[in-house]
Amino acid sequence: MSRFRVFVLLAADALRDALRSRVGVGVLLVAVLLVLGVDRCTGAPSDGITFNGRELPASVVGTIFGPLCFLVLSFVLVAAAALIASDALARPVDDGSASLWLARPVGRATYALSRLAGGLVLVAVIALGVLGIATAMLASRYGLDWRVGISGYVTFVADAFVVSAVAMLLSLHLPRMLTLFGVFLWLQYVAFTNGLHVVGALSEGGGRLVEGWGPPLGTALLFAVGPWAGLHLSPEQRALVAGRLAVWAAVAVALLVLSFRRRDLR
Amino acid sequence: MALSAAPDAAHPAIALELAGATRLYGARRALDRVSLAVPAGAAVGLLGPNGAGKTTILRLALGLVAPSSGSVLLRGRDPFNPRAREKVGWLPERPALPARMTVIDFLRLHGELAGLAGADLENEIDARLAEMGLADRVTERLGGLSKGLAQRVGFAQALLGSPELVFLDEPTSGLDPLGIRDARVWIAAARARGATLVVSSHVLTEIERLCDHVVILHEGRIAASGPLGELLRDGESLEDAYVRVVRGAPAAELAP
Repeated sequence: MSRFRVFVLLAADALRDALRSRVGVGVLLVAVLLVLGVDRCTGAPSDGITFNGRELPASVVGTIFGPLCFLVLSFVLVAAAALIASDALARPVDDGSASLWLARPVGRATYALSRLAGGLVLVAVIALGVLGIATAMLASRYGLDWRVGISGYVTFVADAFVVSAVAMLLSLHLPRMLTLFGVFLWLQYVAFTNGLHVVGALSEGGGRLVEGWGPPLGTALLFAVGPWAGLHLSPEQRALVAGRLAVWAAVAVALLVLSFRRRDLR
Repeated sequence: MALSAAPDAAHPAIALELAGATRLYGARRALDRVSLAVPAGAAVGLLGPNGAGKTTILRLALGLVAPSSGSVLLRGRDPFNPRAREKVGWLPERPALPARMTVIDFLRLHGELAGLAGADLENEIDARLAEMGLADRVTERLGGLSKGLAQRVGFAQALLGSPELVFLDEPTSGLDPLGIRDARVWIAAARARGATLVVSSHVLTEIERLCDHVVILHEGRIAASGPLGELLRDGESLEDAYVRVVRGAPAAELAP
């Protein structure tokens, strides 16, 4: 049997496993709440809102609220991806069920990547629903270009991939709660730093280091949905951010595979 | 140990070979310079007290752990190479079955990974389910099964795809007397179709019935090994030989 066929079989099993887990059900519930929240938040009157005594037309509200809404939703869903990934490989390794599959002609890398893929597919499908509905609401209520939402969704998938791989890697070495705490803290810090950088408010220090070398999770999303706020980037700027994200994805996956390759299994 | 099969690329004469294999867990030496060769077609029983290294040998053989030093070859290949594990079945001592999966989904996926497909897959699963008395349990979740039923599911997955090499770790653990009798029949059937068996067990009568070669491990080393007939002295039972080797006799490590 080809390695790809083995990967597909195991990824499908990982997807079913994630769906049946409490974490998977929890993420689905959060997704429903997010959709309800978006509906409520985008339900501003069509003639705009009054903010600090100033009349803001719907078109202006959209340019601020659209990217903000998309970013918040994306980061919640990226955190959900980390939640699923932190459980997807560490649990079968800890309870010993991974050994049964790995006693078959299944490579360690194939197994680890299939577990990563299964969780990612679940989050990607949920995000397609949540971000798709959000984009549709933003387009119909504020007149924002729905095609920007597609670019935002693709960027979200890339972000979720990087964060899932990092969470899965950490989960092999740290207790689950510590893994989640670390990943969530890191996510917030990166997002905050990226945000400050984009608005030109980033000072010297650790933030610069994260902005220069860390994964551009927030930057990539901000750039993707930037056109809603009139932010247009050159192809070079886009390539730089995409390249950094790709390097982080490659390094995270390589470390995950290396880490799992010779790990003792129960 | 005498070789019992002609070698070729797909069917190497030595099913499992350990050469000076040592495995450390922290400071503890679970296996200490063990050399062992299991000929294809043989049925080898691993005996020894708790912590003697029986399960460690099986885990090394399956590439679940790596040796700290020395080497392990499974069907002529590094066990970490997935191809080495083609046509290999394994029943762990307490099979950690994925609790959320149903019996049928679990066996279907194992069957596919064992290289079965289409009608062959369905026919073989049906046969195993009937054989193991699981036909009316197919939709039950594995997490809800009793220990005995879980062991039967473990047997079913280990024997799917007619493996050429089967590792059984305490195969009758958790089974009731009828289950133990059934298990002997399943193992004998695998043996009859020419599969190589490596069985780790505390039940000496089981080893005596099923195996033609015995390896007695003690404190991570081979204390004695060889064909069953040669290991026993005049009028001695396997139990007598085991006690003699483990309790008193100096280590008589036998090379492959």
